[in-house]
Amino acid sequence: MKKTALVLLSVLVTGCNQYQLVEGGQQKVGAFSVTATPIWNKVPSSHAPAGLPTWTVDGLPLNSLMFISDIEDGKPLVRTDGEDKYPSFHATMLPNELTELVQATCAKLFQATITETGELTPLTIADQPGFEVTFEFVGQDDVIRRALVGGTLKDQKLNVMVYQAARMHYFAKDFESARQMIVGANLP
Amino acid sequence: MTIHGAVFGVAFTLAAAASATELTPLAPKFGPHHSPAVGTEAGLWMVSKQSEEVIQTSPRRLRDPHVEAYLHEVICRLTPDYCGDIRVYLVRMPYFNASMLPNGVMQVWSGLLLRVENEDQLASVLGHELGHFLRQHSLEQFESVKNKATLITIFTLGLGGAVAAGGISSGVAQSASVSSKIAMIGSVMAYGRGHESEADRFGLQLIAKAGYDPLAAARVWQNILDEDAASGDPKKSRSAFLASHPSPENRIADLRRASAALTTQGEKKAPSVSGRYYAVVARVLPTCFLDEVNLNQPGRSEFLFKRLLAAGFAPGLVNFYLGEIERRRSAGKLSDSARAYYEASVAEHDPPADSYRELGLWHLKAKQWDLARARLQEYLAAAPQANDRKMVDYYLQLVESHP
Repeated sequence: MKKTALVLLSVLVTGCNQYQLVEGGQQKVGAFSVTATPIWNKVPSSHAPAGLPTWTVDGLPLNSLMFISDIEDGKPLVRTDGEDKYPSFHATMLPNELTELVQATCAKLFQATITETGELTPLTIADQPGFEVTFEFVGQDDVIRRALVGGTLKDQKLNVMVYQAARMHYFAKDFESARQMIVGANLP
Repeated sequence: MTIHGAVFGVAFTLAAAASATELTPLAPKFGPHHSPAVGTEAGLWMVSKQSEEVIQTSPRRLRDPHVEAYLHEVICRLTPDYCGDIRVYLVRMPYFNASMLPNGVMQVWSGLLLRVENEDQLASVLGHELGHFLRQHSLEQFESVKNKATLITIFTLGLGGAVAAGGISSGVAQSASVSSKIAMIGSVMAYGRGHESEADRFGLQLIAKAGYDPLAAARVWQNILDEDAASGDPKKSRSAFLASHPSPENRIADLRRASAALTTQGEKKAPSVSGRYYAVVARVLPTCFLDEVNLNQPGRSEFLFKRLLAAGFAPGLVNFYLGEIERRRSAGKLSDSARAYYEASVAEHDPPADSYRELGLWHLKAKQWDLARARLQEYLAAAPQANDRKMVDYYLQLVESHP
């Protein structure tokens, strides 16, 4: 009996730590509802950056799509353990400031320097006025990565999707899949 | 080891007036065009060559040929005989640091450019590093380490890739945003007190002989100490350069004594701003300002920027970044002090276009529609190709919806 319980426990634990293929079609991730293409894998929360809901195609070092949702006024985008302070979201922030907030969060999360900021444009997401922006950053491994961010506020809460990948080859490879999910996302 | 005293054979004319212990001229330990073929030194050069390739191709390298050429020009003025043996690379690291590899590769971190006020001060830092190089401190350091395998491992890790930040000496160099490889390359050869003192002496010789103000070295150190004090937590946030350079207070006193002995004119007053220095580095300073603000250390940044403002450097740009510090401090709320800095910026002859945008956004949040419209339009006029033009057009539509 004891042995069976141990086996079951280990299966459960192992299962929680495995990447899982995302099925094509409608998927609920945090507050987001997105239409996924079947190329993505769910990253176990124990492996995901700061435990955020995260998908990847080729592995975290190469690309990822992070879903950050329902962030309330005064809260950071990433859960912190007290010591590690991330900048906070404020409901009065304009898209320029939200861009800065996401960049500062990514810089801390990936231990990176933001090297370029691309075009910042309005984008309607889930019938709400929002924004999209691209930027580049360099992490500790000196790889140049590019990010596409789409975000909007709903009920004074911030919802952001961050697609980031190595600039060389990987960003362009799954850009369309990621952007379609951002553009078509719902916040039911 | 060949000592080429002849290169520095002409002792300083003022040396006779100084104490013999302080001013006995030091000579380089090798001659120009030195290239070891065998032995320990040749091995160090081989590893250093790999380090140079890492730096050359790093995305953190600030590829501005004018600024790198200027740095090299100062180096050549300091050591004309070794000019062709030294390569210098500017690296995008927002901390005060410079370092040299045994094969003549110098890396200068971008944070240094915000922290020296004129060419004399820049020359004093470069002269110190040249002191390490020409006195072969890295070779001596290597030979003095009993467990060379460990040192080689550390050095190789510095070149090879992922290195835990904890491997870097201490202080700010452990900051998350520091690229481990570049930082490691600069820090694996942490020198002892004797080498540091000697590099100070040698550096002073070089800058005095080149016609720079020897007191500039003490001023650099004093500025760094003042900056650390302004940061609010000096011990925690000491610069990377200080982290590997012990006893700054004593060092300042030593440098002042030695500098005074090197000049008959007493304390030569350095110009508050070196026009040439700022004219050249202005090309990369906006990047340095942005990286400094992004470090989110407002006390330190404010101190630095106000010093630049007092020195008269690009007030439009400096006021803008002082405004950025205040805006970020205000955490989404309207900051009157941020607005005041932006207003001060646009009142200057050289404001960055971003000052107009931030004023426009301030008024937009304050629901001062006419002022918002005017400032945002000024922004678009000043930066018609701005990356956020479509978003600013959207803000203007919002303004128009509130007649």
